[in-house]
Amino acid sequence: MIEQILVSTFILGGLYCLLALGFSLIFGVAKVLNFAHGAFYMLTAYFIYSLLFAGLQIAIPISLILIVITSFIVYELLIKPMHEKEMRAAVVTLGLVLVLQEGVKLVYGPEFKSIPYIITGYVTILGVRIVSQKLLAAITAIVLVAALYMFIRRTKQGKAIRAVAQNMEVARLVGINVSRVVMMTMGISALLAGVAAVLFAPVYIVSPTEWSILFRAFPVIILGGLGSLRGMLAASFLIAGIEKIVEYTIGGGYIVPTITFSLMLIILLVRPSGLFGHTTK
Amino acid sequence: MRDKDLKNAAELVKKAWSFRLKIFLLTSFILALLPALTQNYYILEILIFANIYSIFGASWDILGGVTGIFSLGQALFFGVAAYMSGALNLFFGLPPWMTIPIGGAFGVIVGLVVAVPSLRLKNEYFAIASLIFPSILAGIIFMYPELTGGGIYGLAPISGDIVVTYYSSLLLMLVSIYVLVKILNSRIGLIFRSIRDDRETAEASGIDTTKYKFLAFALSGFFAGIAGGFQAHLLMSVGPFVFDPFLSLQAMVNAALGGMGTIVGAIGGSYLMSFLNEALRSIAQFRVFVFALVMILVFRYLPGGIMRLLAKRYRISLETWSGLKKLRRRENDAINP
Repeated sequence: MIEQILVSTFILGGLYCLLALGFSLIFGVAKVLNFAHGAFYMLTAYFIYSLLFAGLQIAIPISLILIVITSFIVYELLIKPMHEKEMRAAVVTLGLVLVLQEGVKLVYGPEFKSIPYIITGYVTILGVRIVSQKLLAAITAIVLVAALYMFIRRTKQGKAIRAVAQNMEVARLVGINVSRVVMMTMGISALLAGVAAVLFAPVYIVSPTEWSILFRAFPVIILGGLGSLRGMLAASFLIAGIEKIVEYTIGGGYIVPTITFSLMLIILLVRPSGLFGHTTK
Repeated sequence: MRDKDLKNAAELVKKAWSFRLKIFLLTSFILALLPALTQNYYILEILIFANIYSIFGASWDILGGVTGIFSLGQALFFGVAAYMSGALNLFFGLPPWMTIPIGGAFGVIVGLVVAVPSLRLKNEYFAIASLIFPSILAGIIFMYPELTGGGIYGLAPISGDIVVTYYSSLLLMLVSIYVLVKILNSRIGLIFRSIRDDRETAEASGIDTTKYKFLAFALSGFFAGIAGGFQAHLLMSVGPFVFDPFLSLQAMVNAALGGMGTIVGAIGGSYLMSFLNEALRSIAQFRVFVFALVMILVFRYLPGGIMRLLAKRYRISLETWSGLKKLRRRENDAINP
């Protein structure tokens, strides 16, 4: 059972870190809680579903491009004009989630859809037989997060992102094109949600309410502290581990989110800026 | 402040009050006469819900719109109070006129509990946390179905007569809104607004913002609780649906559509949304879609809400401080001690 918990923690943790990272990245830079992040995940899955006729090799890149374009439109129309009114912008993105959910429901119907695996077959690790797609998904997620970490730490673009995250006004003063940087971050963030959908939507379900997967990732976001990359990575696997332990020992269903949500609440009371978050503003 | 300014301000306040009073009386009058025009069960039920959601929206407004603490989980207070009212009625046989205020009291308790993390958290963290507070309780209810029965059924109705129910909801709504508007325009309301606009300055002026935040949560919890208790008796049942995140959004959108921070806006917003909802009855699959569109449009383009738009036309302010006389006296004292 321990092996099973370890393997499934690894996979779920991969999903959580992709989702939480995208969410916290755009929050760090634009200071907006982009609840539509979960909707980007859901939307990408539907893009792939509707482009399936062209084959998976074509459907995936086009879907990713589409989701990045969507995120640019969302940013230009709904987030950028609401600078300094971040809470209102957050509510707007929450409204957008519902619009997208209902829109998808009207076009595709409320039934569950499915999209095919990128690779088929099974692998056995630690004596646990799992679908290859899951392993691929988790490994890709971790590689992506590492790549993103290097991008933000080592490149000039990454430095600009960090500068904007620290202080938008000063970043503008030293000649950084702030709105371009925020736009780029939005694109990266949406891309992460899109990739999460490409990797994980085949093994889970595709439905109009699948954006709620972001809800499940909230404890990770809180625990990791918004805007902290390393914290997010640690929190993803910690929360995934707790979820899986609960699932294998007590049972699944409503218990799992209730326990992680309650845990999140306790953490918030003890450490208001998350376990790994910066204690100072 | 110069004497002339004070006089002008006092005049504006007076104008605003008389305008508001007129509107308030006119609205009450029309709403009170409605059952004379129609006793249609269906129409009255819509109006009863609009009244409940007015209170619920206003309860969000006192916290989110007036004090500036964006709670995305208003359903928490509503739901706890609904469950408590239901349980008290079913298991202890208390009548609705007792269980509804007690539900409000439970709303206060929950409000005070939630206030603790909100004081320590940055706004963004609190927003995320408040969004999933209700889900925790809903999850617990689902987890222990034998304890809560999942839902509570067979509560006493408000009244067997729909017209009586309508009048009780109307009375409750008007009294609640009146009390909240009075608070909005009192010294307390002024402090709430100062916390929203600039918490640091408010603190520097010697205001105990912590105390007033607790007060805002308590008020919000109380009125949300009353609305929740009333709905429990109206539907004669309570289920986990009272913790639906969508319900929280409804409170918020109703308040914002009417005008955030105006309290009365919640009435306008709630009635408009109810009518809109009914207008979409034949195309029910578009309801949530339209609701979400309204949500986006209001928060993006019309943060002042419809009531403020109207108020602007008549050049009046919906938020005033009626304590100007007192201020003037104090100013005089300062000049001629």
